[in-house]
Amino acid sequence: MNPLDEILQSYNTTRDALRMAQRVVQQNIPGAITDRHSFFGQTVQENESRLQTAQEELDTTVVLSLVAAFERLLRNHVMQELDQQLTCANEVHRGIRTQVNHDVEFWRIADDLVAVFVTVSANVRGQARQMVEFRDWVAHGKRWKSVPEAPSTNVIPVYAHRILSDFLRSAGVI
Amino acid sequence: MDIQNIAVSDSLAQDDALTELVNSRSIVLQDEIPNATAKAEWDKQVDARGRPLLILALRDSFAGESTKTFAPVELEPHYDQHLRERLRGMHGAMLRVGQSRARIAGLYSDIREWLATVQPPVLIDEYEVRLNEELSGPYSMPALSIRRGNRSIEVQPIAIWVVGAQGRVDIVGPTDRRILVDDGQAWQIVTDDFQRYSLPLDANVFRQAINFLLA
Repeated sequence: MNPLDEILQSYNTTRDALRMAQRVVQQNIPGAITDRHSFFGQTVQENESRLQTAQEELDTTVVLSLVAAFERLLRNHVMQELDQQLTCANEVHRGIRTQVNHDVEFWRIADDLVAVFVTVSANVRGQARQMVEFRDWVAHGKRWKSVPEAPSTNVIPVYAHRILSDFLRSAGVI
Repeated sequence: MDIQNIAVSDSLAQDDALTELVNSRSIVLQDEIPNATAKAEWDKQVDARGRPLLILALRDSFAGESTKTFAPVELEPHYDQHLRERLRGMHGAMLRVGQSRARIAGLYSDIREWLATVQPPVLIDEYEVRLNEELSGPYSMPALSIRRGNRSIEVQPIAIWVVGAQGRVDIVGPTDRRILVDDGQAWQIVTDDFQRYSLPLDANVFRQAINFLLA
């Protein structure tokens, strides 16, 4: 089971719900929109615009979720590898292992964590780094002026899932 | 052969100091833009604080283009390496835009062929849209409008720098959209099936998508 599947499945469900909402708005189905919905009393154009914005927001935040899960899986995998490799014959060994595991939490994902997995093709590692760059842009508030600039690449959610899954498979994580 | 045609806009030409500055760096442009069909034009703008900015627009005969903004200080000899790196980036981006335009033109040619016999018939119009990406700055790409009766869909280029692909074009209908990606070999249509991700785009797949979006 690929843990990223669940995230993309939820994304697909939410996106379908937005599509259905768009049809409801456009076809003005009687009774479908009540005063308990934010669409109530708005023009079709206004509601379409809101749904479009929501879709764009969904497309970026799903990449954030995918990269967050990817990062956790990689860190856990490195820690498991360390547990297997480092002996624990005495207190000092245990202390070293604990400290090294602690340090892994502070490895920078794009520079350190992804770079460890040299068995993954350089192309996929590069794409995973681009995904992390995109995630950082989203996570740090993409609309705010204090955020330096947009990443140089566009990310398609389904392709984010493919690339990160390819990485995890090549790295032996899943 | 390097770039031969380096021009200065009328508004920049009125500023002697900045004109002299950009002219003094022409040799760097010629070094870093090894492309005889390329044309460069320097322009001047002013930022929100009233400071002058230099705009460099590169174009070539293959419809490639790249436009970037420079602070005048970036053209001073002290920043020679920095300027060269930015120019190399612009040259690469200009080539990429031209190549993508050709790939998109090929896609549109296929689409016209696929829709030539479709029933009920559709009307196709082509127009230009402006995109803006980090690596190239603003550039133009063609888009299509496909109409059947009072319903229409747009075939719109979205980006040419895409992680895992060479470009993205969306087919946007009234209530939904489909994503096409250029994988470097051929155009693919992105699916919801994350075991497969995409399917090769052909006449049948495209017609199905169009009929669904126009329904």
